[in-house]
Amino acid sequence: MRNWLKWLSCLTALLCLCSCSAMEHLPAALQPSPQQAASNLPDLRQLAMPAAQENPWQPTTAENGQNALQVDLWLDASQVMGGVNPHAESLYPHRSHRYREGGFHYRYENQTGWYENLLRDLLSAAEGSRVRVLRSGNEHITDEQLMAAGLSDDPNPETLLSLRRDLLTYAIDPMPTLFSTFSAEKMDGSFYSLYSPRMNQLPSLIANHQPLLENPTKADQLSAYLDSLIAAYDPEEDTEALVPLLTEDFSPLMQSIANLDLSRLSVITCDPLTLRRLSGTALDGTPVPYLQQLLTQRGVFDLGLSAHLYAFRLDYVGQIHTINAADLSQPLIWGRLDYLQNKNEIKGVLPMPRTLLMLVVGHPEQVDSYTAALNQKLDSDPALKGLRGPDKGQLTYSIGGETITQQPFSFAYEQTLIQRHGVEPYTNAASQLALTKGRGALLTDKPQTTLALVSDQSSLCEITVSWPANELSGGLQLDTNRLPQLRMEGVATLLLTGTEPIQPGQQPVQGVQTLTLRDTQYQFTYTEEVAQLPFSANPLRLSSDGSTLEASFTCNAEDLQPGYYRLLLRADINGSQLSWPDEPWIRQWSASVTNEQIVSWQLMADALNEHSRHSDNVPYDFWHAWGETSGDTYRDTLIPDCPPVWAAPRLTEVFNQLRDAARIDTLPFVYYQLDVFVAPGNQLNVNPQE
Amino acid sequence: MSTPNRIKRLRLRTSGGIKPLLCYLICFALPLLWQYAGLWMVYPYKLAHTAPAIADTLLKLLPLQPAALEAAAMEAALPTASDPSLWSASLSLRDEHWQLYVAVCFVFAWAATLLIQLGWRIRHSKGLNAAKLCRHAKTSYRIQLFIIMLVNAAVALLVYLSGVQHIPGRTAWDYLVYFPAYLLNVLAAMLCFRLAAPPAISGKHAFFKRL
Repeated sequence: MRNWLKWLSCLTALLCLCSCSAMEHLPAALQPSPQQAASNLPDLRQLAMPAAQENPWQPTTAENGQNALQVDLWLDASQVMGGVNPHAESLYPHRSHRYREGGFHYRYENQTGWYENLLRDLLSAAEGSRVRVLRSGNEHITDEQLMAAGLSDDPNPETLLSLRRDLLTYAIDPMPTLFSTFSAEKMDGSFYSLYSPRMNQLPSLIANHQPLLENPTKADQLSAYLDSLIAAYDPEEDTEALVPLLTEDFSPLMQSIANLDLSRLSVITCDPLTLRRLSGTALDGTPVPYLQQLLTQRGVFDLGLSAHLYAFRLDYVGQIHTINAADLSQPLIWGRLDYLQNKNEIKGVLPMPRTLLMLVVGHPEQVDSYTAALNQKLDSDPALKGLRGPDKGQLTYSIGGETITQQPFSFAYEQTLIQRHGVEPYTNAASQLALTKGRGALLTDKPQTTLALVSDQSSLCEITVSWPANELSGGLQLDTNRLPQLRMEGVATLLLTGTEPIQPGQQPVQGVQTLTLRDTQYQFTYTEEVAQLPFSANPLRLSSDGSTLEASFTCNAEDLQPGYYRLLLRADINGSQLSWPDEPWIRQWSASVTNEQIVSWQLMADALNEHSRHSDNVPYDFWHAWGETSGDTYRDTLIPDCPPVWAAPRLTEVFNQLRDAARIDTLPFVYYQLDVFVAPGNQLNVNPQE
Repeated sequence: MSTPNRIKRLRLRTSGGIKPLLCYLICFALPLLWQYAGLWMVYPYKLAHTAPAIADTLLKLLPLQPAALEAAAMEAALPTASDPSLWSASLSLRDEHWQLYVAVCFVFAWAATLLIQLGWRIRHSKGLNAAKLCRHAKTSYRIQLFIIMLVNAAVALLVYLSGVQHIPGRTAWDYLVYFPAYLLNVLAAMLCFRLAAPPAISGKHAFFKRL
């Protein structure tokens, strides 16, 4: 027995020695693995963070498709546009050979204004589209009138707008020759006359294009209603018809915008002299911008539409009875026939320059393609080449005591696109995420931008997101010293909320993800109601060379809980922080009109109207543009400067209100969403010394 | 006709055969039950998701690499993508592979133990000279028991080296689940040696007790 024990002991000792020696030569797979810190957490990589929602801030876009080939051509049919004087008692007769009418649309023998060529080009640029021509004059047809006439029982604004568009429809799919009918040697009852018989084109439309009307079943009723309106107007007595002309916020432009079919491309012409007032004052003293208010009310820019503003320098011969808010009892003559003094021999026509405004409103793509086609037409139209106007100093006017002799002028135009702020927000695209302080790693294979932070560290972590600095679209300028405030929002979290021992038959809880390790269940709860975040955002900053925008935020790793934080880095910018690009041509083409000037023009017109009744004719000095003697007096009335009718009064105001309507209250400047994944270092393969 | 030198055939009672059988069943079932309970009743509640990547380890150890093992190793490998479902599936597969591996190792040790013990029993169930037979059986018993201990120790060591040592944060539960069954194997063999020896070498007051 003892021998056996001795043998066994020796054998065991030998085996142990051999084993110890053999252990050193074990395969690598049997060698002890590098010492890993034992984690008291399960593998958090099993946690599934729900997919992030799409960026909720999506600009609204207008529909583009079924109505892509429909164009509405809203033509200004105001009297000043056609050079027609609606005041019957005024000195200059409507059909005088000496004092021509026609305005922008004048005609003398074979010569017509450039406006007619412009209209042809407008039509030509829409070649292939279904074009509807609408007449927007000084006739004001209210909703109440439509309802009272029994045309609609439905007070829905869209129904009434549709009816009004049908009432204003002048032609559908017209030929270019249509515009030749607008001008004539005699403008009585023309397209531009108040309550012109031509207002009602519905009979011919019913005959040829009834299905193309918006309310074909009511076409006969609408036609009858228009006839009744025309018949009821008496130019000698019906002064009520002129009331709309005195309404400060009414103009053909406003009427056109108020009745726009926003699903179509709309081209609106506007004589700037018809813009009586573009802003008023509310009872509490706050300014009320009429045009901006109307555009906002119609939601033109909210729908993602854009407006392309044109200003054309055209030729004009006619009588100007209104200059913005000034209603002249005696019209101003602007341009006339060229005739020999004291003889009836007429040599030709002497047009004067005037500015016409035009808006192209529609889906940005439609507007771009239409304006590109139009510009090409305008640049290549031979009818718009050459010079017009008095070339021998026949026509003069005075400003500040100086006589200005009109020189020949050419057709010209300027343009500007106005659309909602196009700030390209700094989002996850083209961004670079970096951990500038602390330990962690960027998880590149996640669908959502995810940064992993090591939970078992005690340092301060700083995360920096950088983007190449963009130039703001549309020439917008941002003051780099006043970058918007960066703030951090918690979109959702999936964090450890409790542990409990593993037990048989446990049921999963909705919204709770459970991970197990050894004998413990770790419960991670997903919530989108994030009360507090252990992160704090730093101010936005631009790199020293201005090429990079940096947004950073910090956190103390000790405050982090294991799991996921879905964060939204956001900095909003409002319209007031952005400045539009300067458009020098607006200043050059615009003119300011003060109330004092308006009063002086009205007084001058009243004086001429009163005293001319006592003589056969006005003095020679006032034959054109109130003569050449401003600063002198006429029958105790100071002769004012010639009104700036060659320019576009209120253009600056129109332009600013268009831009203000396009301006948005708040835009996302930085909109960056990321997930922060907090887990033990051994699960992230992050070097402890890193 | 019988000769006086002929040894009379031993006549065993039925109960004399059943008791050793019960002894075998009880002794060798105990380690089996222990390991089964450890792997499939205790593990999910005490050692969940702690399994090492045993398929990968075996793939590195074995000179020949079976396709099935390669596939298992690939399935259980931690994914390079961060898809949480892949991670979860991978960890679950690791658990399954590990449980299977530990069970196979144990069953091998258990079977080897049982075979060695039964082999000893068969070899010493017959003999003419009881005293000599008993002396040889005793010597053989010590050698066989030592071999059994070596086999179990070797398998337990393999389990430790190939897997258990890679489990971070090991607790007493790890050791209770993976190793006592090998000790029970040895104890079972020892008990069967001593209590369920063949009648030829066992007796009431002998070294090998007769139940």
